[in-house]
Amino acid sequence: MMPLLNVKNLKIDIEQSRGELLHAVRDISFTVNKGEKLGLVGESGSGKSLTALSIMRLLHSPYQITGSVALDGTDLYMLNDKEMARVRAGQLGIIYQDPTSSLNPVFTVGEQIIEAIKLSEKVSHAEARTRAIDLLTEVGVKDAKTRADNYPHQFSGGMRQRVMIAMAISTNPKLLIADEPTTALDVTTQARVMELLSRIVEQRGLAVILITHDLGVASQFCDRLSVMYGGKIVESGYIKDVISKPLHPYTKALINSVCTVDLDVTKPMIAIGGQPPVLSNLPSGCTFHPRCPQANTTTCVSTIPALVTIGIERSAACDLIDTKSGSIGFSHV
Amino acid sequence: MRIIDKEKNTLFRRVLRKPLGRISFIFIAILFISAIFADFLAPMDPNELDTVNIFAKPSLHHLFGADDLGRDVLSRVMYGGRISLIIAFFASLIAMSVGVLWGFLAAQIGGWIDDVMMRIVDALLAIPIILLALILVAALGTNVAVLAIIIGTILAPATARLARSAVISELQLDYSHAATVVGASRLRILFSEVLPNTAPVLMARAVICASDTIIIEASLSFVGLGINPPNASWGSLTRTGYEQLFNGYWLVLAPAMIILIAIWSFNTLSDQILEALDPRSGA
Amino acid sequence: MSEILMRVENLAKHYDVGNKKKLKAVNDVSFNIHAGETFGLVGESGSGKSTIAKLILRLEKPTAGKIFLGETNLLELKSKDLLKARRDLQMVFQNPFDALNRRKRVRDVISLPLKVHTSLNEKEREARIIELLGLVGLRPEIIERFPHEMSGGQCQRVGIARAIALNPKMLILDESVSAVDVSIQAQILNLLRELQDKLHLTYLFISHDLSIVRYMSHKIAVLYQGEIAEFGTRENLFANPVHPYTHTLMNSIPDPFHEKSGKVSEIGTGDESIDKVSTGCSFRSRCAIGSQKEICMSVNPGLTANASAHDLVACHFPTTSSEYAQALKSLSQSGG
Repeated sequence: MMPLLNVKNLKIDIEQSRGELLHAVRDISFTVNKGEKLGLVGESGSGKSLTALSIMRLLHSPYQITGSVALDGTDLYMLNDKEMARVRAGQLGIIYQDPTSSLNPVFTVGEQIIEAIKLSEKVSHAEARTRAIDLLTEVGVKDAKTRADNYPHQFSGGMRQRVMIAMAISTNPKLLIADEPTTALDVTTQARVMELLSRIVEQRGLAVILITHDLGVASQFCDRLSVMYGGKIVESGYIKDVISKPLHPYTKALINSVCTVDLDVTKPMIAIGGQPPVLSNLPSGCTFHPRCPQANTTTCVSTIPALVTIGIERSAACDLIDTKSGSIGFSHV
Repeated sequence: MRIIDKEKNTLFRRVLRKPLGRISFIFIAILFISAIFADFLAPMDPNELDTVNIFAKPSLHHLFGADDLGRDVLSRVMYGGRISLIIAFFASLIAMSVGVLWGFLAAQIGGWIDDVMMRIVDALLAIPIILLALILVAALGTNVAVLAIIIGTILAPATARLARSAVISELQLDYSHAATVVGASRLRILFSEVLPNTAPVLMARAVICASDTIIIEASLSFVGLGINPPNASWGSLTRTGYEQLFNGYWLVLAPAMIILIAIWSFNTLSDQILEALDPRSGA
Repeated sequence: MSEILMRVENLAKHYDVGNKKKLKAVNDVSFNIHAGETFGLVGESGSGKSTIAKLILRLEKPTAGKIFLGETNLLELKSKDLLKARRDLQMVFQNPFDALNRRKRVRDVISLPLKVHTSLNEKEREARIIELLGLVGLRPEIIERFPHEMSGGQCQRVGIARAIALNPKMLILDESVSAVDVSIQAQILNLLRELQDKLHLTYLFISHDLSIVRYMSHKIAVLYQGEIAEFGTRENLFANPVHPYTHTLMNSIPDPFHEKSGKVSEIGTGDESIDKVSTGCSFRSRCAIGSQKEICMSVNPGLTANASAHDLVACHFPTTSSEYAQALKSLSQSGG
């Protein structure tokens, strides 16, 4: 079956003031199937947000994008502006991190949803308004009829995010991109919003790309996970597999860095040394090698490891992994 | 001061990297150099009478033509630049010193004193600039020093407002809180921590003050209340040129164009300084 | 049990928000911190945790209360004495870049406290700075850098170096790891623990992340809307929490290793702005038990000792987590 979204050899470069190029996303490929929830996990400099924005073609100069992004078979980068706008309006939805700045403060919440609906379909204002009110109710806004005429500042942070979700699904998109949707929210609010998102996505059979740095949030929501580091995908697989049996040293380190409630308080945390990579000064070979406890001085320093398939829906980019057996040739675990 | 110099260098370089920054800076440099070194650079003595060439059209001999007494307009414009730019420089200096001090104090003291100080600023800003200038000139006379003081005083209130809001926004940032927690005195925080961060914005303002001064001085001289003959400033040259418009368009065009170029350059440089402040690399 | 280093008594901060209403950002909060321990304050937005930090450091003026460092009430100190007291109490801020002056090099940032409080000459200061950089795990070359030339983790270490420059007795860590990447968080937490041992520091550790607070703190106070909801030692609080808000908080944390975590365990609209109440318990509108009880709507429960849990709770009906889960279930089944 053809995947809903097929990203091939995506490269995103940023042109600097003096003409040099920063390689923010370096040749990544991945797919999202219909109704599937993919998590893109990474830290700063991983390129995860840029990847999402590039799918929606929301990046302009100084960003330079090559590669193909195919939605339902159509390469989005082959479309002209008008066609892309139509795709954005009708087939894609996006939820941003900061609900405060992504809603227009001078329009009511209802007006903004109505605008989104009318941009993608020819409906009367009255019908659009009814749909907007239904959507608001669906995302948990009580008293939606009156609340639709409220302005964003009259909602709390969590409610604003729900409004964003309503806006994003108002056009019945096929693919929803959620860029750190709960990072700015309290943990109790986050739980509610993620649960709402889960429910809505299940009901409508939406495919989702969830971008986050929080492995916990990703593990509760996603089906599959792709871990990004320094502009490349370093590991990919079903979420349970990746978290319980991580293959790539970075994935392992990331999982070890998560502070959970059952961490042994008498021992120090297992932390990786070093800093996240700086785009202007990327290491040679494997981007992770300066921080990798297993890095050797031959292959890791010189060759960029390719993302190799190791099992069903399972891949990792590390030259030290024994690809045939899938076992890891490391001395420590 | 060391900090300001160091940071001026990187800001400087960033401004010069952009074409508009380069052009405006070059123009300003040309204007200043031709004013300072007019003795060497001016083709002729600005007061040299040449009755043969009265109202001579612009030519190789007189690049901007000659006036009613045969004097070379270009030379007069260059020497006139001395006066205009001196007034611009000192007025800007006064506006910045008084305004920044006023604004900083208001921001630092806060409370009702801040309110009173800012209401005074508001009151002064409510009076139209030219009107205020005319009144003060009528009362105090017109020579270079007095004009510089008057215009500097007129431009101080807006500077105070800017300085105050710059300080207030810096004081709300964590590094200011950190300085307080570490035990730094309020004065130290103001001058050692906050001032370097407000310097770029204030520099942009200083440049605008120069531009505003040129306009005000030109306007005053144009109505006869600024610099008067035999002294020449760009404004007074424009005035006499205007009176003799039908004898030669170049008489008014030359000084007016120089005023235009000066104002454009200062404004553009100020814009470029503000643009170069973009928090992309820590300015 | 070591001696008490800091005593906070009945601390309050009220803001006037017009319409004769008051926003009680901090309301009658009291706690003690013992020397050498880490005291954790956990809460979400609106809990007042950051306000408490600001009040202790006198960045804001409290409406009421006393704060004792040793025997002195910090709030009554004036200039010279306050300056002396500041040597003992320092802070590490949340945002690593904002906490540093963007125009100053690392050298200038760390020498500020040294210049203010000591009479070391330039050479001595430089030596001390390099020593401090070593303590926080930074190479000496970093002394020339500006904040924008460093990573978030490095900036935060510089902030920590500045905070320990004067050998303080106590550090306030206000969300000190919230603004750095997860992999860096672990590094910084390890560093903080290491420094606590090496330099005999006492910490007030403030965070919204309950797991991190647990890892770092010996004692934990859970804050909700300006008041302490529950307080206990790390062991007791996690073995046997009894406040409904604590249950809600613990259940909301998404743990990558446990399936059922991160699920909602509260009732109500989820509209936090409506949830603020003026009488009774501030949590009642979100509480499976309190929303059904008269007393919760009218009487604000004070912090009292709870024998079974060996800690302090501000609740009329403290329950175990399983009882609370039951209450939630029955409430949702009955359409609440």
